[in-house]
Amino acid sequence: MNLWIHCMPRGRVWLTCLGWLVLIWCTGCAGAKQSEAAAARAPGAAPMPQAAYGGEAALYADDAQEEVAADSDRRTAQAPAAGVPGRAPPVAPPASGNEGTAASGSLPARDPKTLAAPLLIYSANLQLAVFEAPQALDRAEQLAKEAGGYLVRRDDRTIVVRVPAAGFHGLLDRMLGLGDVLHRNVSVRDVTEEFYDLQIRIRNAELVRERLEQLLQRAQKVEEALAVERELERVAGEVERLKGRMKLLSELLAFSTITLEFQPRAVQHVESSVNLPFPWLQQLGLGPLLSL
Amino acid sequence: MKFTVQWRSIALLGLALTASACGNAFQAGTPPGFVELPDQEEYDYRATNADGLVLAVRELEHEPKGELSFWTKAIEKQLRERAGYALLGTRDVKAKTGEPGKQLRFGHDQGRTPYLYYVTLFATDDKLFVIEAGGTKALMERHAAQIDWTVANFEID
Repeated sequence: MNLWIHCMPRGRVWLTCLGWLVLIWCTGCAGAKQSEAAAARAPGAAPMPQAAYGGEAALYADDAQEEVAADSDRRTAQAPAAGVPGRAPPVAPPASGNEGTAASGSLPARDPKTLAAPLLIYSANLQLAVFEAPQALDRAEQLAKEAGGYLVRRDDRTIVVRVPAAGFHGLLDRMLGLGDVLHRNVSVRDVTEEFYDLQIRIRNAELVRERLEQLLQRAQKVEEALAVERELERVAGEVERLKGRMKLLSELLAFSTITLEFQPRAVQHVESSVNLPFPWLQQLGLGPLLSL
Repeated sequence: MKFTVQWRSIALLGLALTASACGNAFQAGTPPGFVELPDQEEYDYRATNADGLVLAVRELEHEPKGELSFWTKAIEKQLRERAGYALLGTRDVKAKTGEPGKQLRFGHDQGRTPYLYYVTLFATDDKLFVIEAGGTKALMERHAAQIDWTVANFEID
């Protein structure tokens, strides 16, 4: 090193030293900036990505891969329990808490066909002809509670209950035994794509929110700060909206809805059948008997 | 004198035949608290109590011939599918004279009031006997013993 200095012209040596000093100073400033930013950050705020000023695409891409892998593992673990009544109860998917904060907005698109098990929402509408509807309503409510469900709504003729998805089919069979089935409609809605799409959108929105928070900290002018705050408010609202939707979806996946409508037995609801040619049969009934 | 006795015998025989032709092939006991209603057209016997619970018997020609199970099913289908009754249950019964029968118990909502309607059937080679009992559910449950008594004391000639 000394030899190298001695070999150089005097002016060149000074120039080199100045260059080193500038370089050291710049490095110090950058460190101080990072320390200041960390100190100014609100308690509980998400940590700023280390490479926020450079190479972030590469960083996020790595995170994204990790996230996809973790998510894939999670789905595999959940797969047998994913909203398929009759198999096992679906594990209510996380309502996208902070898991997405480190993920990228450039997650690779997931193909629902590759998922281990679909996320299905089951619901049923039954119309039953019964004798004494109030008792049938009581029985239906009791059956739902025994199956771990709960009452949503009940009036004179109709009852709506929600039951754990795993017990849906068993309970449905028992409900069908409460009366003569006039109408039965069981519907299944596949929300796999919507569910994972929501997860991605929540992650993306949270990332944008995080980025906006960082921008807000670095804003130099009041106008800039106000503009960022407006955008931050909009994005925060979007995150909450998406999380609400995700929560609803998780709830619908975990619990199936059964709507029962009880009707008094009436001629118009019964399918026509062979009319036996014995007139006295038609004369049977309470009407003639009680008309004294 | 001889002529008069002969005509009297013929008249008695005629009366007996007429009575036999018009009479019923059963005897239904009227339970305590009930009165038998006279001059019934659609029924061969009908009785009611003061609350309005009604018992009735129809005697029908067993034509075409069918087993008890056939007629039981026919009644069940008629009342369930055509008249809107709910079948609450069936039970085996026996007449006082030993004939086996079947009792079908139906329910029916009339507005907000539940009614019960029991149809008991006995089948012999020549006749079908249909015993009906009906009234509000509360009434039928209160007088269940009288209804059972009527069936148990039903005699087929």
